[in-house]
Amino acid sequence: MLFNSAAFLLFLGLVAAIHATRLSWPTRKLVLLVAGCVFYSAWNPVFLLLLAISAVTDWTVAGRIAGSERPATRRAWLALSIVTNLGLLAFFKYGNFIAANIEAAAAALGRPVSIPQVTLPLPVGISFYTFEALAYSIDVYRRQAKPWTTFRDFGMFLTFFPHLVAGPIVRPHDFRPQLEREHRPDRDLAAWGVVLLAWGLFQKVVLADGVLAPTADAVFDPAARAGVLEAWAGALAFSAQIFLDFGGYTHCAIGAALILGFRLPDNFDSPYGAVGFTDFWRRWHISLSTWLRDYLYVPLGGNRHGAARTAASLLITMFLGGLWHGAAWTFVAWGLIHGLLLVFERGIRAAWLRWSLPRPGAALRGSALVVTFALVTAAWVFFRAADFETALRLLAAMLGNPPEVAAGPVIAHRWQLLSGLAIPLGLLLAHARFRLRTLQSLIDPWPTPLRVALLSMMLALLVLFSNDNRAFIYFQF
Amino acid sequence: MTIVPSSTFSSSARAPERLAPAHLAWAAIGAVALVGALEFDARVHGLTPRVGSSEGVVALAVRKAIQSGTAGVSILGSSRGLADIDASILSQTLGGRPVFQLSQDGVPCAPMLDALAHEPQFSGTVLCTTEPTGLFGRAERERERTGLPRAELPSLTWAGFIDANAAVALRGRLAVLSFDIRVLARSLLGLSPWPAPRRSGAPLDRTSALTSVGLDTAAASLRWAQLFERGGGESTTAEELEATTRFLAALAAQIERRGGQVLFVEILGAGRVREVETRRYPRARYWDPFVASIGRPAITTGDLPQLDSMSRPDGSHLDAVDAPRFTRLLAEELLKRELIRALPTP
Repeated sequence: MLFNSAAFLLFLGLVAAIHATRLSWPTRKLVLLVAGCVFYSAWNPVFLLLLAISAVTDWTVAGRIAGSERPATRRAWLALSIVTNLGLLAFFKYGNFIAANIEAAAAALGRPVSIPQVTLPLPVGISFYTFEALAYSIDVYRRQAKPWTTFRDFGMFLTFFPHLVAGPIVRPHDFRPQLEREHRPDRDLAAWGVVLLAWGLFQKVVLADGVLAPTADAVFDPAARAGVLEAWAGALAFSAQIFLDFGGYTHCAIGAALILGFRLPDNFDSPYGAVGFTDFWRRWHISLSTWLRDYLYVPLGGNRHGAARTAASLLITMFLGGLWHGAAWTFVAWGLIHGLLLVFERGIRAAWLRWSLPRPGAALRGSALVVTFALVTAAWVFFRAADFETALRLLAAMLGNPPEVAAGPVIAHRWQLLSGLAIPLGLLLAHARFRLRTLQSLIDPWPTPLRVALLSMMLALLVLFSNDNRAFIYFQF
Repeated sequence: MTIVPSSTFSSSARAPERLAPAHLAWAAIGAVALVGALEFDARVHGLTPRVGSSEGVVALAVRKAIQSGTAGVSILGSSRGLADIDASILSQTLGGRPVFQLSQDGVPCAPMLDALAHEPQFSGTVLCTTEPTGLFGRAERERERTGLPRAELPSLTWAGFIDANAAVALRGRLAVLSFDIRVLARSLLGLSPWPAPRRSGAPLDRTSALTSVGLDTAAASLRWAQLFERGGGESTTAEELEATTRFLAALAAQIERRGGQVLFVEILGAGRVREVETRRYPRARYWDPFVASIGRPAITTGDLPQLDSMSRPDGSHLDAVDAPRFTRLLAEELLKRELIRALPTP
């Protein structure tokens, strides 16, 4: 059940109506737990079993860890959680990828092996809920959080449908206070939730799918031979598309949660207004980058053991971060490119401090912002391309070396070319201008008629673009 | 124990000042008025509602095709079958036989034929439309070699059922959704003429409404030619063609045993696309041997000058305005050759 579907709107309306009744708080939480299961089973009821395995395992593990003072016992229970969650992920998401790479490595060593491949559908949201469940057990292990008192609450947290299939990756201890204290949806916040839902759908349906996707699809087609301008239009269009798709999804999730009276964390903070890559990762997919920081980068040593260890930690983290997005080497390449850029940036920062250079001025910061955006866009080419051949051909075209094969335009309509260039650049300017502002602070001064007119237009465009019904890009992860 | 939130909650921290639920109601009224004004404009320019396509609508159409028994006619094929064959016109020309458009963009007819052949309840007539690449390209050969599972007949979850019916209800009533909104936007802004009006289709008519209005036809034609140049990989060898033919014949036999019928219609492209198709799949090496051995009715538009001469603006597909005439002429030809039966007139 996609957020951009009639079924979801009907479902959300029904759940919100039940949640607003005079039922007791425990009953309302139970209703939300059941609603989460119904929502998830709309894809495939069998996958509910995997969600249950993850939930029951981490519920049990956290309880056992908290009940034991013996380090070995605690470690063993934590290992069970890690093996279960990552095992599910590895089997369903990376099984065939691992098998294919073992076969390739064995063949390269002259000892070919054949591993039977199992074609299984990827359980939707598995990358997200396994990370949330894992965070719970690790936090309890680290004594940073206490185990939850009821399975109903933990189950409701994990299956809370606004964040279930594509995040934000909510930390249990961030969400728990909202379950412990009885509350009802606030009228104004619920209205804001509706606006955020509409805004998220507008970003996704109209801008990402309706306007940008055709440009990106045409240029990233492995058979296409794009020229310089087309290659840039395609890469920029995808930069904007993936932000509007995932950012749109996040706004929908936050909006749907607000309608039910719950708050979810932000996942994006004007990412294309970032100055440098450390800044970018503080603003892009925040819930994943902080998860990787807290549960991978820091345990690997973080920045506490010298430059070499820090660089290694960064590269490993970004390697795995890339792989988290999909079972393909192109995703790994994307992650590693970001890892190298982060290492390079750290080197520059260290040298800057060592040589006691003056604080960068506005011009230098502006240039750094543009360079960051350009390199992030170039890295997206690996993320979107079906294979390395397509990615490298497109990058060569972006650098002024389009393929020699004589070919006509790849982009059939001029509006596609224009929108592929204009919307991403508009997004860059908007993010740069408003990088320190919240959405509310932008809207506050707007007069009511302007707000109503803009919302009307967004809703009308949602209806007019309803013929295009694509899944959110991050659903595949 | 100090817990630091892992992220900010600024988007959900507070509502903007002076936001009232009543504003949402006004916005909804405004949206209805805007869509209503555009709908009025579209109707004034002769557009009528059409359902169009989506996975859910395909599933609804498949369900109806199975339920219609031997009377039903299912159109299979890829985008050419979807754009060129108008289900409503075909139904009309066949005396009211229920016709279901089951073609899907980019999918050759074989996987869906395979799926229908293995559906024990299906007993209708199947019109397999194909372009040469779909029938003779490597894709089919690979599929048989690797034994990939056949296309699954699309089924509907409860959510999909709601979505499909909502789509039919909305698109079946709004003419402004009958063409791609990006095309209509240009017309609305006065940047290009309105697409030629089309009559209304049946409730589940998924026929694509393609239009050449605003299209760079040279670029589009080149793109399709490139696609067909590479699509399907290497051309099929004689042995592989024989295997493909046997495979399709076996599927047809399964449907025939239940009282159904299968016929094949090859739809050729035009201009650059035609050049590629003719060069890669010369008739004497592909289509003629296929017809000789498939043992089922099979015709090609290459033998029907009236159909073959119709304009294909992007080289591959007809403009929506020409699809009804193409369909009528094709259906009349099938009837004349007694390859398909019309419902007897009462």
